[in-house]
Amino acid sequence: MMSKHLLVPESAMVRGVRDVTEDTVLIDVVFDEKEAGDAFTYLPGQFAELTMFGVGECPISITSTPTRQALEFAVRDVGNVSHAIHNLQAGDRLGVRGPFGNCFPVQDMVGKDILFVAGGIGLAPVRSLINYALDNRSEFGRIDIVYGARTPGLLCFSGEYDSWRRAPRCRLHLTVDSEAPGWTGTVGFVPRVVNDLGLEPGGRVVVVCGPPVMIKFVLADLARAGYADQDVITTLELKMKCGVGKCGRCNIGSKYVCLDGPVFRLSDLKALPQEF
Amino acid sequence: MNPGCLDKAGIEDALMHLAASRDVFAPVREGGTLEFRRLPAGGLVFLGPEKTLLPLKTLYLPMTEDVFSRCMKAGETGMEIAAPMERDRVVFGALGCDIATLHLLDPVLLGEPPDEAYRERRERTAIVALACKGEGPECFCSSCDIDPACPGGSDVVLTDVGDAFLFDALTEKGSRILETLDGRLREATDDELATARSFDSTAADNIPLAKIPEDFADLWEADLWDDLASRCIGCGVCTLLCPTCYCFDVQDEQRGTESKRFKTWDSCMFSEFTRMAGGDNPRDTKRSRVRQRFLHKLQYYSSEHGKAACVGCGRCRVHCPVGIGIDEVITRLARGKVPGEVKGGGE
Amino acid sequence: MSEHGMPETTMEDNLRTTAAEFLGRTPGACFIGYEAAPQGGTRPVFLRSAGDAGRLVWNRWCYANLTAYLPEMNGGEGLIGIAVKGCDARALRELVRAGQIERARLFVVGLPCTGLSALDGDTLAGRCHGCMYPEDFVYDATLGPMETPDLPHRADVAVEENPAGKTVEERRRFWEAELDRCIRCEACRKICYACYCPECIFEKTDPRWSSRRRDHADKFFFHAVRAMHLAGRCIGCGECERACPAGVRLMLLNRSLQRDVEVLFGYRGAGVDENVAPPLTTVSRDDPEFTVERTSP
Repeated sequence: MMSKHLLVPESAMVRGVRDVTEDTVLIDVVFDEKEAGDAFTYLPGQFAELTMFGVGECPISITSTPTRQALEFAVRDVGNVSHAIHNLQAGDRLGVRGPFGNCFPVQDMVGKDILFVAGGIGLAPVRSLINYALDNRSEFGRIDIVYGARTPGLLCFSGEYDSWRRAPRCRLHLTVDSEAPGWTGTVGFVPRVVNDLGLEPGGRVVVVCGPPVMIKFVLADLARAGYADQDVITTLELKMKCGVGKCGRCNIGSKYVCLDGPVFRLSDLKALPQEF
Repeated sequence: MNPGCLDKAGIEDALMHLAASRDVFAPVREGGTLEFRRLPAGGLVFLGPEKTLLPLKTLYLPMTEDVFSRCMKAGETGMEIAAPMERDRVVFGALGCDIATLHLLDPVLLGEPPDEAYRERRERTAIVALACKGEGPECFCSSCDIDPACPGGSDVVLTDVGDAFLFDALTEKGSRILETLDGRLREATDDELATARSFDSTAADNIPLAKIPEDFADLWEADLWDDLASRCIGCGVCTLLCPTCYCFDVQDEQRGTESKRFKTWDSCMFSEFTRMAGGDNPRDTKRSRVRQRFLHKLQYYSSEHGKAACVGCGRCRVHCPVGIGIDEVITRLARGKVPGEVKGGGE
Repeated sequence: MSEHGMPETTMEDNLRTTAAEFLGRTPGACFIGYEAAPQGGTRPVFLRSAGDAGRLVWNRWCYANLTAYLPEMNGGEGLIGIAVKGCDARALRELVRAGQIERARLFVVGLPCTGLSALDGDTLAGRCHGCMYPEDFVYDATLGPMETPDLPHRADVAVEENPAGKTVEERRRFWEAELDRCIRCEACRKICYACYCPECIFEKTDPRWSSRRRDHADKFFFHAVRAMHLAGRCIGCGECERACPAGVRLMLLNRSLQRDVEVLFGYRGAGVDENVAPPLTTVSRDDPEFTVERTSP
């Protein structure tokens, strides 16, 4: 944390904005002060609170990987603040607080095969981990990525798919929920595509992130296929404000999503009050 | 030598003398309510065993607190950060229940990363407690490991010994306050000392905080939640007046060319507390919010920090428009796993 | 003895019997009434079994307007028994008129009230001055005749003794001081029968109409808007003032607007007359402000 005061953001500039899907933009930010940039060290899974001055703050997962230069956020237009972010242009200023939250347990994933399952904008935090793993390729086993969205226009980060396909021992399985003109790939809900892969547990770690209903079905199928709860990792999305476990909003049981999450193993999730 | 005493007739003068070198806060009755106000204030200072409406937390976590302001003109990037306080402070007449809350707020607000504004207020505020017997019908501080007659966490304890207050410094900070009042204090008489020693708590000590089950799963489906939720109107008065509630909202507003960020009190009882942009709300029923309030205060907080976050002041019970009191909830939860135990009225 | 010549304990027994019978013969129903609060006084109680009817009480401290719970229950299932005083029955009439609860779901038990005690003693509660029962209200059961009792009709404080003062400047200073105590808990809104909007304008965040900054301007905006939204619908039950932890004298505002509606529209009060709706909730072609301009023949 750079600032003396908890809720004061660091000033940053938007270096680039581009559309990622019809309702999501990718912004690439750079801190105004070099020390702030140097101090912002993060790991995949963490998030930041982005300030649109005069409008408000919202928590956004970091979608870039710390193994590369850019600091990137993918923002879907759902409310006041995210809407204001959609109107940003290169050169505009915003505030950044963070990084907050825990990260994906990469140490525990070393040497193991990984199955990434994502739906819609859920790919954003997962992308950080995928690229991190590919940048540290020798540390991890085989990688399978199942990613789907309602329509082809809602598939995020399509510019990266080729690099994922080309990476060694890495397979990408894309799908959309229903037939669409011009789409020649797989059609089917993400949980079904995961099932069809028929991947045995064998020490594999699964990272699941996406709409609640998708997660629910995937988790049920994984349990049936014999995956242990501690090998299944997901992220929780709750309203968050302070990012440091003080405003009380993201409290679940004796945990705070902004401190003890947003990354949770399924075994940890099951021990929480089922209220998310 | 007996401790110092100050005759009641000289109190206001002594407070104003202190106010020359630091900010002095005391309970003041104005417009029908008793509140901590900075002296000199419009109404009368009242030092007695009556709780202020708003608890002591108001002085450490103000209802509205500016964080920073920023000029919104193009090209401007600077932020002006609000300073939490100017002069050192002393609070007079705080009661044991209120003071105990600071030890319950500290683990949260001073936990890494600390709320610097709160920390500064904690460090630079001396507390002159008023010994109390916990005589209100709503008081159950003694059930919460609090001795109202000698409140822990104070720097000086004042005891009402008739026509005077006995001053007893407990810390270095407290001694310095007494030094500032040097010359105004006289030695206490033996009678006055005896009166002070006879100060005993009469607050209810049978509210079974410690018997609340440790696993929230045992309490999750209790019929108690339906019973409370049917009556509760979701006003949040319980949380706003609760000394240990600290939830806050962060808002940014722009007026003209200036934007400001401020913190302000919020409540888990408000329906929009956990509502996300886009409309999803994991606690969108009153039942789930009522359950959250009590489980957080009595069970989740306790499993994190070792002690339930209740000081037995009874403000929630006194001010709840529909007669819900946390003492009753504790008693019912402490009965354990058995759900559906709604029997009789108000047990 | 009550004014109607029946000992109140008999009325209480009747209430319990009536509620027990209703619950006994109506599976899945609930009965909303008053029970003794452990800290003294009474509080609302929701009963679901006939065996619990012994919890019900009826006395001079039964302040709550239980009809305020009904809008949330609208659209649900099961019959609802409810105990209402005269003032509460007026609120009930307006709720039914506004479609906030179906009359067919209700089993309304009339409590003949001859005035409640002031919170701090035995004198008549301020809210009971000027008591007016609804006319021709159909109850499903009553514990006695439901008629407006003969109570002192205090001169309208809003006009005669208005502590806020006569000039705009005096009133501005009065309300600044009064609302200084307000903590924006919005208990007044949540306890009010007439505040039944599923999403109140003050709960909206997109856009956000009212700041939570708790400045005087924000607080005054909240109270002024609420008073305006209530104008003509307030039944003067005073629950807002009772719920307010800070003792803000909200009834001064509400009574003032009520008086204005009376004077401007000749309206006797919410829920009094079955056939006359609160003036600000209706539009009529006879309204002087209602002009229809034809833009084409």
